[in-house]
Amino acid sequence: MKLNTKHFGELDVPEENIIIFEKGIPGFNDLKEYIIINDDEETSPFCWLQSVEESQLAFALVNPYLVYADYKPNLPEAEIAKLGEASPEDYSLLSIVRVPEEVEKMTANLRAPIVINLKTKKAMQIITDGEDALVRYQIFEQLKNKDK
Amino acid sequence: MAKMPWLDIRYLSNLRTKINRRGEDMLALTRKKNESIIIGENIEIKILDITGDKVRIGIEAPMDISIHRYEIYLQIQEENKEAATNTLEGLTKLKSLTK
Repeated sequence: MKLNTKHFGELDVPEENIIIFEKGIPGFNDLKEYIIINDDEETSPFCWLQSVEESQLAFALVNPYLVYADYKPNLPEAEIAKLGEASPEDYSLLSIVRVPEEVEKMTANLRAPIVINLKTKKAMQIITDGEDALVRYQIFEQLKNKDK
Repeated sequence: MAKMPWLDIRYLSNLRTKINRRGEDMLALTRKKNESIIIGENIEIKILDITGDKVRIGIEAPMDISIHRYEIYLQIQEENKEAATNTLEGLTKLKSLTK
């Protein structure tokens, strides 16, 4: 399937890779279908959540454990259950990254991670109980130090 | 569910179309401490305590209903909208960082 993407032009993506957000993502509730695109740099900690329906919509994502090793999100079981049955290893947890012009101030939203059930291809952004500060968790230093 | 003489269910369902999450034309009910309302058949909202301008609310709902302070939902929504506008400049810098 041909897909126009925000940052990578036209890509050919297998239709079975489409991930469904049944409730959309807060702020974009009408858009349900997304594709995960890995960055072209193999070592990049980021990947992209590209909307299938709206080519100009793409979120940068980071593995939250890369930037916060002790990350323990409180994910309600009932919410996870909505994504369908799967074993723990079938889930992927990612955080949306906000990149302001001052790139040193980039943050990841650890308060509301994206949970993907890779088996059912269903996903949702789950608002966890936790500190409000986790919405804008500073990640620049952690990422920089990882490179050293 | 115990019968609640102070609330006529038919009247409530007539009003339901008027409920607007943004606050206009919202269904307004007066409750006292320890009184509650029921939404649908299985969501109960109870006034636990009132101190000054603070109201403590107890909520009983099925596990699959997510409940959050409205502000946090709005905050996540705003955060997503902002993340969706990541500037190209920032993204280029981000890439050079990850090389």
